[in-house]
Amino acid sequence: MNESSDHSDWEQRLRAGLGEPPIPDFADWSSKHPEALAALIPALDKPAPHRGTSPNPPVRKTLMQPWKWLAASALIACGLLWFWPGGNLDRSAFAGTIPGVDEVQGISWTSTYYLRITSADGKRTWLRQEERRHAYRHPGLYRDTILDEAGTPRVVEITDARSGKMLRLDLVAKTAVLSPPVGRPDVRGPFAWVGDALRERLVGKTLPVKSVALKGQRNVDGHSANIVRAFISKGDDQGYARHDFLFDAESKQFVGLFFPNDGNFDPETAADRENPAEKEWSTMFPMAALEHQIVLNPKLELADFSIEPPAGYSFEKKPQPTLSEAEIIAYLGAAARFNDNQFPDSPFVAFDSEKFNAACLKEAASQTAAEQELIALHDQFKLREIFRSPVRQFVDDHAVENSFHYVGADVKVGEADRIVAWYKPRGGKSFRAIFGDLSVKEVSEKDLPLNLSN
Amino acid sequence: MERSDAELVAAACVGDLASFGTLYRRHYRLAVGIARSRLSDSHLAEDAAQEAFAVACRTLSTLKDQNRFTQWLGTICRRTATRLAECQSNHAPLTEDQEPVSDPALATLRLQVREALWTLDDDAREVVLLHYFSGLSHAEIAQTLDVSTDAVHGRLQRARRKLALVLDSPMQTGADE
Repeated sequence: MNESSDHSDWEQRLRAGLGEPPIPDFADWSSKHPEALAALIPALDKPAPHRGTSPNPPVRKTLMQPWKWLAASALIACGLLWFWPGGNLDRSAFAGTIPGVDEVQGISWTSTYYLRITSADGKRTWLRQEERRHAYRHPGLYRDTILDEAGTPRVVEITDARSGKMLRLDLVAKTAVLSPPVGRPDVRGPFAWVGDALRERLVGKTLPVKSVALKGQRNVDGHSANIVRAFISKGDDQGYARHDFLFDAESKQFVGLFFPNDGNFDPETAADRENPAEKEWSTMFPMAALEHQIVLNPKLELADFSIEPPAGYSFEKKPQPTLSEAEIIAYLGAAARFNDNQFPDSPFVAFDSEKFNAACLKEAASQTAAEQELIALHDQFKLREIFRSPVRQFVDDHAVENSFHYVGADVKVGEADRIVAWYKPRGGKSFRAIFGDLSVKEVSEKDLPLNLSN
Repeated sequence: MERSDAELVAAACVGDLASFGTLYRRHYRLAVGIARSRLSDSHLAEDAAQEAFAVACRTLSTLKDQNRFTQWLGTICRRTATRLAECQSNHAPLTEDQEPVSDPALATLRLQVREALWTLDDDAREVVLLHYFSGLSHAEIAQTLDVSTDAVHGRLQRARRKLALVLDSPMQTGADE
């Protein structure tokens, strides 16, 4: 490249004085100039022809899956992770078509979960990886396959998002259970919410996207993918969760989603990634999930999405899990006692999860009565497969829409004259008010401190 | 086979970030060389080059002739560097000679080179930096500057004569000038 043939002394001095040219670092530049790179992504910015709206109120599916998986494993008693309230998502009229996200007719993909397991004595950790296989067939049919450690299918969950039914098949025990689905599967497709996050900057109509940035590229299943990193609200002032949306560098197809529970966790660089597993362990914590191996329009048989129990399986119908008013009052009371006898600021995030986790890790004999009470209720609800905030579940199931109001912040347990919350039961004519002494009374609208009804 | 700039520009314009990355890696040294011909601070020159790429990235779709990416980038880079040079003169930034250098002889040499380069006019200094610092061939410089290879050769020859006079002098310190 350099054509200079005159290597005179002054030229050598010139070169030495100029120094070596800098090495280009595109990744570094990309991280500093995401807005510039964003200008190159037409699919996210340019309007496309208007499409019709979805006939059913669609909701998200994928973000719920780690929770479903956590529930299935029934191993974690601590932490409120990956909880995402459902919502009613309208189809945006301003949207480019992202393959794998929009107008999906059929798709299959794999979820890989990364777990950090702590040894029985709490001194060592190691990582475990588990997988689930998924398929989606339009409209609203999902088939999720849970694999055991050897990679053999053990459980299949078939969900019809339109009818709100899920058939769970235990392939080993040969049992079939029909129940409402966990979460609210999105009729539009498993990753339609990704489009909402990037276009509307809002997920489920309630969860704002704080930021979107281009973060260079990473390899996904052998393909180079552009990383679009979004921080999405967890709701209820729980901060923001990192989501790395991955788009094939050539085709722009959606090819993956990486979301770490700990914002900096990377399974490829984690210090304990090569630590040996031990037989005995104390806690298991989900560190991250990767949705990948996405295949568009694979061959999917309609029969594989049937929610009719197959021959040879015992059959059971389960009602939707819910909570009673008495259980919710007990829960609020337990949370208040756990919070030094003060009702929480928010009923939906009723206690500090770090404090709760710390309490879970104590020996039972060292736990306080308040800790034991809250842990017991928490476990009880999880075993009943209530994976949302218990109060949220109760409100959605039993309260007239927008009738639940909470004013309990700073109320002390036992303050009989102070209202903590009120709501109107479905089918009821008057309101129910919960007081600081955990009593509940039927009250008329004029007895409420303020009128917030629509 | 290496893809041409025009192919990379076309791909980047439809969202292929990797293609823009290739353009960045291919022409980064060129951009820094041009910026450095207008800025005495090499760190500031890198900043200018990076900012020039940001401008280019944002406005890539406005490039009418995709075969002329380097010329276009060079123009953006000169403007950006000139703008930063004006800011620099107002804010007295840290320059190389103010930075701690472990080798005093090297520090002196850097100063000499810098002073020698500033005896050249803008065009000659740019050619020298693109050749001796960025490592571009005469043909590559000619393409970037939109002039003939002979013209580049001529400019370099004239610049060399001047530089040799300054840098060959064993007593030259630059700082004393």
